[in-house]
Amino acid sequence: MEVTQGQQLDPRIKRVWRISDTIVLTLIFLAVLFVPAIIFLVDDAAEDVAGVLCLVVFLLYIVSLLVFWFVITPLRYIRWRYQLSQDFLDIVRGIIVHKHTVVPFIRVQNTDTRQGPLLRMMGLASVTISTAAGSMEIPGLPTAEAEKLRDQAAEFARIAKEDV
Amino acid sequence: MNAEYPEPTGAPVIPAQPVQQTAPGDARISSDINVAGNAIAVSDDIAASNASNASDASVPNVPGAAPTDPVKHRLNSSYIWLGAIRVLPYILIAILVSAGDSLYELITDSRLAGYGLIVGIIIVVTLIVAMGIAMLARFISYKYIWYEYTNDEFSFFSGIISKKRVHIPYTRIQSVNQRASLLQRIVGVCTVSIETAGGAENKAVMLPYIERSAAEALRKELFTRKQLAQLGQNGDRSQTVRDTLGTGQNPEAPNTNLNALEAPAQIANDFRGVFGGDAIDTGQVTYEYGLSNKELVLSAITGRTSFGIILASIIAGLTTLISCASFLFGTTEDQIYDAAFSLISYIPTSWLVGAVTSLVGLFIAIMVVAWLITVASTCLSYGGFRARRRGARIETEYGIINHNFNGIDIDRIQSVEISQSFFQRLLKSCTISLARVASAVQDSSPESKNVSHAKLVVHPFVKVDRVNDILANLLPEWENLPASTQKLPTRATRRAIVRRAILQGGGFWLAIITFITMSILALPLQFDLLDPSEVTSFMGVYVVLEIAARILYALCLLLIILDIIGAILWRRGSGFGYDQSFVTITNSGFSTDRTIMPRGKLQMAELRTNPLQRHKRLITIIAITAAGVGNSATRLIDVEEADAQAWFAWCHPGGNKTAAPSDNPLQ
Repeated sequence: MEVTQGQQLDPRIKRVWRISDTIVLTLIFLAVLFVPAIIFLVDDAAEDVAGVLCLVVFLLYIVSLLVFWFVITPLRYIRWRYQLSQDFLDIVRGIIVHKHTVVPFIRVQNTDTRQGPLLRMMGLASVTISTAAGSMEIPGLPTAEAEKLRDQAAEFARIAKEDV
Repeated sequence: MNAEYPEPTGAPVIPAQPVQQTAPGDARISSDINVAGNAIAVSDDIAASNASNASDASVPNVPGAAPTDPVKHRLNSSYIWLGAIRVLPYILIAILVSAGDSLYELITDSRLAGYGLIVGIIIVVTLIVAMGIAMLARFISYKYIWYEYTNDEFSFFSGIISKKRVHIPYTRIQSVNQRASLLQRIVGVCTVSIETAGGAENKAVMLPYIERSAAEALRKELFTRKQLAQLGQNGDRSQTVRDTLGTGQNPEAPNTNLNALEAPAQIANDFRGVFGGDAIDTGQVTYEYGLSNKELVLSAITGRTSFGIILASIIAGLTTLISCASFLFGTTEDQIYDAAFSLISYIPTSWLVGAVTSLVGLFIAIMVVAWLITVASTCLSYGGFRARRRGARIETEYGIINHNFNGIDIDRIQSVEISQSFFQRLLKSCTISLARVASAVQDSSPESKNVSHAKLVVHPFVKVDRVNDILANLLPEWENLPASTQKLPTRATRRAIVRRAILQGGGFWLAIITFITMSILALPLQFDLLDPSEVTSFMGVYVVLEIAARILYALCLLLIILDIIGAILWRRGSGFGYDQSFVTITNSGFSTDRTIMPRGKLQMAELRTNPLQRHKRLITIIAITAAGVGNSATRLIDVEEADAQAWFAWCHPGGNKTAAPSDNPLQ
């Protein structure tokens, strides 16, 4: 399967990714900001150093936010494809390291849909397809479509036959 | 204490229906009846199952027979006192810690001599009381531990206050293993672990202190019932299954390769302990082998622990020698360690040389002894190694002192692994093991440790040319395993060298760290930061450090060269191959690992590329099976793009069935 083939995720997933990335980055930023804050509190003479550090950390935070919003998220969206066929599920993903995974339905043990608060806000759900050796997740699909996909995958898993 | 044990009431229940013999929250048993009745119940049942073996008549609790109250199988009574004995060392330590001070005074102070006897009596009494309490506790809990077979489940009950019961449907049972420590062997009991599908969620069930005959009966009963449950509970067929499973007389397998430890192992195996009971036939053996003397000793010598000790002794010996040499022949040391050297300078040099030689000699002697002990203990632990094919299972047992018994169902084998360490490669030998889904072991008592392994070693040391023979007999289902015919392209060599010698190269990074450290240490000299008085001593230390650094650099260079050779060997030896039903992935180098997976056990397959690989049109292939804890991914880096795509298509259901002949196996 090439990148041009297969189904894309719902575009709204980009917003979900942006929000969750922002939350993670903000937490990291606050954690890092802790160091200059301590310096500031402990040593009055080091005020300048603390200020410069704060500024640098803040700039880094802004830059990484911009990179995640406008570079990584669209690329991730473009690279993410899945294809459901009668016997297997194909998933292509990864920006720098490209990963192409196949899950034969004969090995699928259970399929389920999940919906976190962010996904629910956007009216999205994710479908998880589990085998005995881990699971694959298709993250952003409209809720109704996710249900349909899950049912379809479960049905395929039920009727799949060993071909060896 | 008087809650009644629930009985199946009314008319006989239809056998097809699961008979739930216990109501929730009512697992307590009438103590009066059971204290009196339990010994009889246990012995009755063993007698019955022995009889069934001999005469092949009826076996108790046949699904399909009229349902009776399931027999409660008890643990061996050694659970009470053997378990209590294990408490003794702890109590002794506690006494020593708490009263150690006064005990010391008692011994040293002559005025208190007369009290020694009294104190001794007190300690003994304390021990006896503690032992009594422990035994009482074990005795009470013993009454609440039993297992039983119901129509479609095996149940294990335990616990006094918080009741615990584990039910295992027969069809879910994957393997029944047993293990016995020396003490347990003498008594004739063992710890049985029943494994289910595996994974972190499914813990193995541990049954401690089971008599050996009871353990064998348990194993046989469980597998028979499993077979029955899988066939559906059909009366006629169940009898056939029982016939084929149970009655097969063990044909004496040809014991062509007996080793020196075989005889003691045989005796140790035949010695069934005090409560061991008679041996019980558990199925038909179609193939069996042991280890020859040579194989046993070689496997011990080339084992990983033993190799580690050799390596450690070589490195330690070298460093001692070097430090001693620089100590003796160095020129600058006198100035550095004035005090130390003023002492040494009075000693004649010949004495010193003698001292150093004897030191090194002593050191080497200690290492040799440690190594010999390791070899001997490995010999003992692998002594009496047997691997056999019994029905649809493969069983191994080994260990002279601690006895281990492991079994695996053929369909539970996720992959076969043939690994070859560097030494084994020189001797044209390898280790064969079977990978399975590991169960997390319920970690409650120390005796239950290490029962479940992800890999079952079916031969620790075997000549390469015997591998096919062994696999063909042990695993006839896995015929004609494909060889790794599809090799890696030559352009993978450079990437392998960069990856192994630089990115993952220990030598390279060690060299860089050494360089940085030395540069930092040199800073004070370069910028004249030292007092004139300190310069000489600093210089001395620095010179010594520089010598050490040079030795380190040489070591790094050696490591890097080894990495490069390893990378080239990897590129030449690695490859993969597949046919209709199997895929083989070989990762070579100084040591070689060959993993063979049936297509039916591949849970997922993945292709992975990074930008540099894409530039060179190379792909990493990853085959994921459920072996081990969670999963295990077998990967091969830098496969030719076309070959990788063909393999990936093969992984798809309905894809191509055989490997296309590689276009250019060796460019």
